[in-house]
Amino acid sequence: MHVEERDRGWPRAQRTTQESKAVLSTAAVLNALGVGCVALADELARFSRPGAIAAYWLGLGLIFIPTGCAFATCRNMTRAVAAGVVSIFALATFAVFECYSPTRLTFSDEYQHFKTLADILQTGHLFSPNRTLPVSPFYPGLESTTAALRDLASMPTICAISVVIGVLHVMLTVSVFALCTEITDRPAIGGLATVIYATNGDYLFFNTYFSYETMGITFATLSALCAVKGVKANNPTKWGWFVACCVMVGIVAVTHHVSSYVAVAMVALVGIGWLRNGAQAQDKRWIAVGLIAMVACVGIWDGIVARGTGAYLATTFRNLLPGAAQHTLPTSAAAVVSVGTTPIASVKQIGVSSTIDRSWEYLWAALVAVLVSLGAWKCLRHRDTLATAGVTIAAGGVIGVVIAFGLRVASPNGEIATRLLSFAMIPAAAVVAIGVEAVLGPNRKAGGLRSVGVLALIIELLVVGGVEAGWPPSYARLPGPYVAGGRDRSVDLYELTAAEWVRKHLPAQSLFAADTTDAELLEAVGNVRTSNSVDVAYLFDSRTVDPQLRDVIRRLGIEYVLVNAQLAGKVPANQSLFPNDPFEGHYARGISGADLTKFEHVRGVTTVYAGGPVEIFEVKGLYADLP
Amino acid sequence: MQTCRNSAGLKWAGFRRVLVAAACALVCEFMRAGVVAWLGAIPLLFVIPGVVWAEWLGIRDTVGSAVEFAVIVASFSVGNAIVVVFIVNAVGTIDTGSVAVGMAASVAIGTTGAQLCSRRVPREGRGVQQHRSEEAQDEKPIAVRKYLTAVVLTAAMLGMIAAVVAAIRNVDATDPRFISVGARIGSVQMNTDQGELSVDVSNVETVGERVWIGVTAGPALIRAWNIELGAGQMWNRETRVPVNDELKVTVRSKGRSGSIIKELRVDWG
Repeated sequence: MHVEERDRGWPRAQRTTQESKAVLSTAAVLNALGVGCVALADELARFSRPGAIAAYWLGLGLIFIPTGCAFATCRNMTRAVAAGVVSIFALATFAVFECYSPTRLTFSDEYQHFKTLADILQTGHLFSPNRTLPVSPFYPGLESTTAALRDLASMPTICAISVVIGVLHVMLTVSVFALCTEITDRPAIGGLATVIYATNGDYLFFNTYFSYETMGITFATLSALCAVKGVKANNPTKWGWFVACCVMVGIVAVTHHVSSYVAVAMVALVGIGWLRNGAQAQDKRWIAVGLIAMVACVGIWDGIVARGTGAYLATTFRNLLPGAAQHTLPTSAAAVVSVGTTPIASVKQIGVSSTIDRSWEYLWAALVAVLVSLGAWKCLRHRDTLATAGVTIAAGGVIGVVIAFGLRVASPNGEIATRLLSFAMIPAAAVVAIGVEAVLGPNRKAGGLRSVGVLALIIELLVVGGVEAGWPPSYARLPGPYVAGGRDRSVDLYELTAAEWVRKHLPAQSLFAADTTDAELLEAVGNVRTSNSVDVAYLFDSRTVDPQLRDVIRRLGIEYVLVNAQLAGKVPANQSLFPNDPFEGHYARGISGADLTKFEHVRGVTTVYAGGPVEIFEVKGLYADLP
Repeated sequence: MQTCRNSAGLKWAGFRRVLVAAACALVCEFMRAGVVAWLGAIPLLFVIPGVVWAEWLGIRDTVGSAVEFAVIVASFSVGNAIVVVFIVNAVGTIDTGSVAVGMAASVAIGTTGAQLCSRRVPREGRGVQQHRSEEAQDEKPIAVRKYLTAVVLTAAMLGMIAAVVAAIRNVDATDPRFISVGARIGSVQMNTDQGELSVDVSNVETVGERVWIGVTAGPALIRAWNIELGAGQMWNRETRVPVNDELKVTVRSKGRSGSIIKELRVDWG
């Protein structure tokens, strides 16, 4: 850009800068309006008023569309202004996340990591066991950073969490922009690629959760960025970038397993590209040494410290991949049905994602597939479209996108594809942005109405499709009243207060039976254990506390039962209510209120806590006199 | 900053700006500790338009340094307002942590504000005066646009923050207000009827056992009537319980039938 400034003369270049700043201001104002609309949508949703979902989509449109159009129409945008627009976009998207639940954690995944954080803060040591997510303590990068900030700054824990994930969200967005800019050598394309990346299903929420992937994916991107910068830099600075790259991989290794593998893969791709394009003999040795060091770093951590990672990942992938074992209705269900309890449908009901969600998801995938193909075709035709250092990593990203789409088609569960896409799209977004540019045409008039219209349509479709495909699902996309079996919408103050009471007043590691959300909160906040036996469902679904049920409670050694009356009469949103629910997918109606209150007047059962709809019963007396 | 004519001068200007920034941050931190902290953002509304008008009227050279100084102070004030809004108001505490974060936010925002509002110096080594004489006509509207950019950016950022703050207040307003009752030994039961709560802890029979009454939102005025202390004695208690606090009632008798706490009322606010 400085060369252009010299060529064109100062006033012209300065005017260009000022035009860019006008774009920056406009994007900032529209982004702020977008955040305002989303905050309004959240407020309407909390009171179950109409118009919430419309305000939500309008808000997202005001954030995504002007930002994307700014990059596509302002061709002479400087790197600094582009970075400014991206930073404001990152702040706006983080504000969208923050507006959902600004004063406490809401998403169930976050409580799994909150448990690790609470253990670090309580014991002052790492690696305390965490039953909700057993691998979490062995990747304590995020939690230890948060604990350090909280202790050093004497902040409340929730503030420290917000600050850390906010900084990480902005870092991820800016580093995706920087990487795509390095890959394409054009800040405007880098910025457009960032907006396209942000339309992937996990960007807005899942990769902003207080979860180890939030930090892992950020530092994985930074490691790839350092590698690309290193390859492009001159000799004295080159090695500084490579050292930074190794440090980043080291941080990822102790933060998140999959991110560390992706980081090594991305750096290896950059290294391969460098080997093919002009690396000296001496450089080749250093590439080999660097890669071996990174692989060793990740391997040592996973092999010695986090030894359960392999088994955990294998189980997770088995459950998510095609052909995963599904719950079948147990034969004993007939007995439960016969006593007139929770109506069980013999035919499995529709799962988490509705037909509309899936349609939008497929539309998003189709659009990305077309654009990535166009972009790849353009890159193949014009070899100078991508920077030499970025060709291999971009190609790797495109292959990753293709694999993700293949998995999505083959698997009924879209989660693994969405998770893979959040990594693969980092470099592939640059290729998609080049595809968008190809759609708009090379000779378009900058700022032309037609270009803006086409681009706005593309971005709107990508945003809606990406959000519909991602997490949280449609029933939890906005905050609001309690939703049975709604995971993120099943966490409210009643459950949290009960879990906090349990932590203060009941013996640690007591064994509870509870529904899924309450079980997660009890483990994470209450510091007790919960049973994940299939039989837990019968404790809630049966009408009376008969000898058979007493025997089940005794056999499992359950000491307390937490009953949440908000479950009564509601069909679970995700067709599952308990940690290991035998009736998953078979709920025709909700559990009746009578089934849930059956413990109240049973001899041997004591009510130890009552708060709003949540009651905790001590049931040890039920089997005290049994042999 | 108009006196900077060479690279050494530029460096000194940058260094001086950082010094001023740090000094302003300190002043603002002291200000924030007082009641006037909330007024921190207000000067910005007056100062930046003032700079624009001064530039337009050509009198900026006269008032330049003072105005730039004021802009920096105002920028820091905005930084502090953000910290006040986010940390102090949302959480209700002022401590060393929020001061540290306040300092960081102040430096970041103040430096950005100062950079946006200061005169840009060409990279080519030409003196500012020479540049000004050559490009005087172009510079006036450009300078105005710079300040407008700063104003718009600041307004947008404040708007975004306002949206998040509104969300915080909204969540606080919609959180359920309820009391919860628990005891480790014995049985507790609670019935709610239009804000009037009755608690029956008739089965609590262990001496020294505490009945836990938690208040999740408040402050609340809790009145507990007819608390039996044993031997037929009755005790009425009225206690104000702050937000998220708890009232503990200790059971002092054993083996008596009937309620220990027969009635409990909660008046919110």
